[in-house]
Amino acid sequence: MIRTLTGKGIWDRRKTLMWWGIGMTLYVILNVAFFPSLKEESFSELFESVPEAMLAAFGIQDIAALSTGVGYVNSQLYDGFGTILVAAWAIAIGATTLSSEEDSKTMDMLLSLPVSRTRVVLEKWLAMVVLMVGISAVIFLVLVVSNPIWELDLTLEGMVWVNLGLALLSILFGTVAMAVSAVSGRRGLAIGASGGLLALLFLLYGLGSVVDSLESIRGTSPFYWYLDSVPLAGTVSALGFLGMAFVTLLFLAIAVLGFNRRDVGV
Amino acid sequence: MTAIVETNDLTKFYGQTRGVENLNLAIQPGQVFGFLGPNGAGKSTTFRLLMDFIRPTSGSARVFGLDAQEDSREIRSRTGFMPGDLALYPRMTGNQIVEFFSFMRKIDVRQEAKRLAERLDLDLGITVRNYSTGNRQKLGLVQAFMHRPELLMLDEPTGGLDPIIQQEFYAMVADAVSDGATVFLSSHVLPEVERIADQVAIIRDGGLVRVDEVGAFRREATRVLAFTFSQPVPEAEFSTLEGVSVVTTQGTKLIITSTGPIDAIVKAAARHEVVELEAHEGELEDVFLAFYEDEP
Repeated sequence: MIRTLTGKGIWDRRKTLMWWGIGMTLYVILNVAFFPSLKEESFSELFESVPEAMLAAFGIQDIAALSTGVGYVNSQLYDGFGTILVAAWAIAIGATTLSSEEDSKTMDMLLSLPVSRTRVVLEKWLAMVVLMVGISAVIFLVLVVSNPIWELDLTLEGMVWVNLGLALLSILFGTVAMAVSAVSGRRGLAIGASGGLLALLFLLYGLGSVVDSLESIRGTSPFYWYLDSVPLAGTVSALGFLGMAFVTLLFLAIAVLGFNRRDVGV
Repeated sequence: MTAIVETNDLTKFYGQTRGVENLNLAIQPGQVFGFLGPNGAGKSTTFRLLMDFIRPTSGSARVFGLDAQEDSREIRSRTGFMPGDLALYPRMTGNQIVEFFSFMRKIDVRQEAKRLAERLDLDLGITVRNYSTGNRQKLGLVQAFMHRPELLMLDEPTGGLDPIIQQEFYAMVADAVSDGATVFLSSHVLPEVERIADQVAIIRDGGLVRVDEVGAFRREATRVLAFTFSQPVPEAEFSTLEGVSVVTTQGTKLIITSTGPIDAIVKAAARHEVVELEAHEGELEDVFLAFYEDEP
């Protein structure tokens, strides 16, 4: 039974959530299952010939750290493509949740109901939040189960923090996408702008650790706020996490204002 | 008496493209107001402005005496709307949509929706994606009527409906009006407006060309009158009358067309012995078409 716009937003994507859940489960397992065998070898030898900047771009800051569960999981999932994948899904939802209804003209029907545009934005945003928390929770559970099997030596605290951060970071990018789409009404622009921003800020964080000229602005990347303190080790940056939440709310406000101001469905 | 819908110099431009310009409408309570005009004349733009989907470039609109923009939520709670470009959530069933809208409107309208669906012969258990165009249109009507709104705004409501269902729709409009509702509907099908509207506004190129009662338009329709007299009568006795032109005289038979008052014709004819009289009501369509066509 669909009673609210948030409920509908989740219901509409229930199958997508299932597939993302399955996909991320496999992605996590495929990565962590290699850990015990890789741990035996020397990572230093394995990556000897790879330039430092290249490694940094892929989220590997310190080769020696790869032989620990925290370092390995961090580089393979959170400091790498796992986070990018989840954030990309958030962007896909944020960019389309308003604009696809406008493109398909169902927005006229929705707005003919006695619901304010503010509520439309907030409820649709909340659905995205729930989905991001959902997928982060799936990854958390897979890690909790994998932890003893593949001897990752992760702490429960670390796993909670890093996945909370994952949800926060992806919600941030989803909200940016939603703001662009709410202001412009253009899905393509929303995906392009926020996707580009995601790539840019990820590289800034990664390369900033090795490229001197980027070092000073590295701290502007939300990836830095999320990951630099290594939340998987249980050392969370409260300021960083609050920063992500703050920027998210800022863009949410832009989304609300933007969607209230303009003509819809033209 | 406050007008249910009132616009003051309502103007909307999409960039350089005109939607409507200086539109002044007043729809009184209990009226069935027909909005007639060719495609692209500005009918949908007007509805979308009244529903606050789009904002006027200049001018203003009031519904129930409330500001169309500031008080939009209250207006929409008291209005049933059917968009011209109807799109309903394709993956939901009719019942799910009724239920969802029920919760969004915060009133349980499921019984009424069921009743309306039966009236229109619509199965609510089917996914919207699998409905025919006509059935989608029916669901559009169900959702517009189901909360018994004070105002119905229906943009081209009967497109895609078969004639029997159209009749049922006209009955639904009549029932709503007898329950106190006001109906504002657009159409480019003339007989429909003629049949159900009290008042008609003709819109062309974003502006109102004329607003009048249906009866007034009807009075202007060209009538064809064929008299047969007992003996030939002089044409001039008729051709000089207001709005009359003589088509033909064949011996004692005189055929004329008239757009003016009928009284003068009857009195002129009464001076002679009338053997037979045939009258054909002219097509209202011709009157409207005259407005559609570009001025000479």
